[in-house]
Amino acid sequence: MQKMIFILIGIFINIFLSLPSYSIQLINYKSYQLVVLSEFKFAIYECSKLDDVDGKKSECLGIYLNQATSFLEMNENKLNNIIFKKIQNQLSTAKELIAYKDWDNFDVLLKNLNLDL
Amino acid sequence: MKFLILVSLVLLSSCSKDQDLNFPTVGRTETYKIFEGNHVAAPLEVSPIYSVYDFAVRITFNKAKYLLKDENGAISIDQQDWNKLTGFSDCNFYDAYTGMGAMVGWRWNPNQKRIELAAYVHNNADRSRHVKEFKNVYMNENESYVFRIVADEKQKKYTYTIEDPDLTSLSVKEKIVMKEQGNINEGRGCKGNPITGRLISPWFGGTQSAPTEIEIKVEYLKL
Repeated sequence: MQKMIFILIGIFINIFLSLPSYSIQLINYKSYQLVVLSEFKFAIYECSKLDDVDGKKSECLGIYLNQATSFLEMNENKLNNIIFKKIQNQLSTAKELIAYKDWDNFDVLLKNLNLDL
Repeated sequence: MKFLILVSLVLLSSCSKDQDLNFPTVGRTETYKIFEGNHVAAPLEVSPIYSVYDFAVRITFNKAKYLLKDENGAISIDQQDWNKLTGFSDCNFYDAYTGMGAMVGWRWNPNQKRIELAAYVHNNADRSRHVKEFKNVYMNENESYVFRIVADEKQKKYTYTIEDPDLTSLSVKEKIVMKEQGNINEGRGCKGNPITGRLISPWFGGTQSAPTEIEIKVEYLKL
């Protein structure tokens, strides 16, 4: 019994001293996700105010919507499934509306765009 | 005995690193664009940082010249505002613009026709922003430099250096130390941990949005 305790203590000391990864500070994942998604939301709103005469509005929105979709998919296993599907559908519809340059319906969607988790 | 094994498993699981945070970062080159009329850069930078004290990037300004005018057509006072070039949030904050973080500031000086640079620290403790301008190094479009920010483990301190773009020479052109001094903390908001936060996207302003398109190339060298 005593021998087992010493072996276990030894294993712990070895782990904490030999592996630098154990000094890694853990990410507060929920806070991180919330901030990133709120920044996507802000960026999409900023782009929506641009003029699309030279295609800048479509280009700008396309970059963020594609990126937000990738971020969401990368984090799928960390999100509630219903919320994930809802946000994914909104982003997908937004991309279709941009492709058709349907700005009236895009503005309606934007008002209801909810990237909150 | 069972108790000891249980404690062992709990301790080990609490130390495990989040394996899902798999963002390719070191060696990555990203060209950020700030569209005319925007503050935020595209693409948005979302990569987390959670295990290093040393941050280094090679920067090239592809498009950096801009002019902010007031209602009389003269150069606006906003021309002196610092734009954010790159950096990171820290101390488990993820929004460096309002939280805690270390960034590099930049602005175009139309009179001197050069890009001015600064160490720029946000400290959430007193909602303060601390800026110290580099006095020896200036840039221009299509020039490159390496910017390094080292977070101190034991003190509330960041050390900023600007170095030659060719990393083999590693010659430091200028150094600025941002640290806690008495009641004023111009440095890190925390100590004892590696940088924990995320990379910061370039941001225009300041008060006004970009009057013309800005383009910045960032190569992530050390994270």
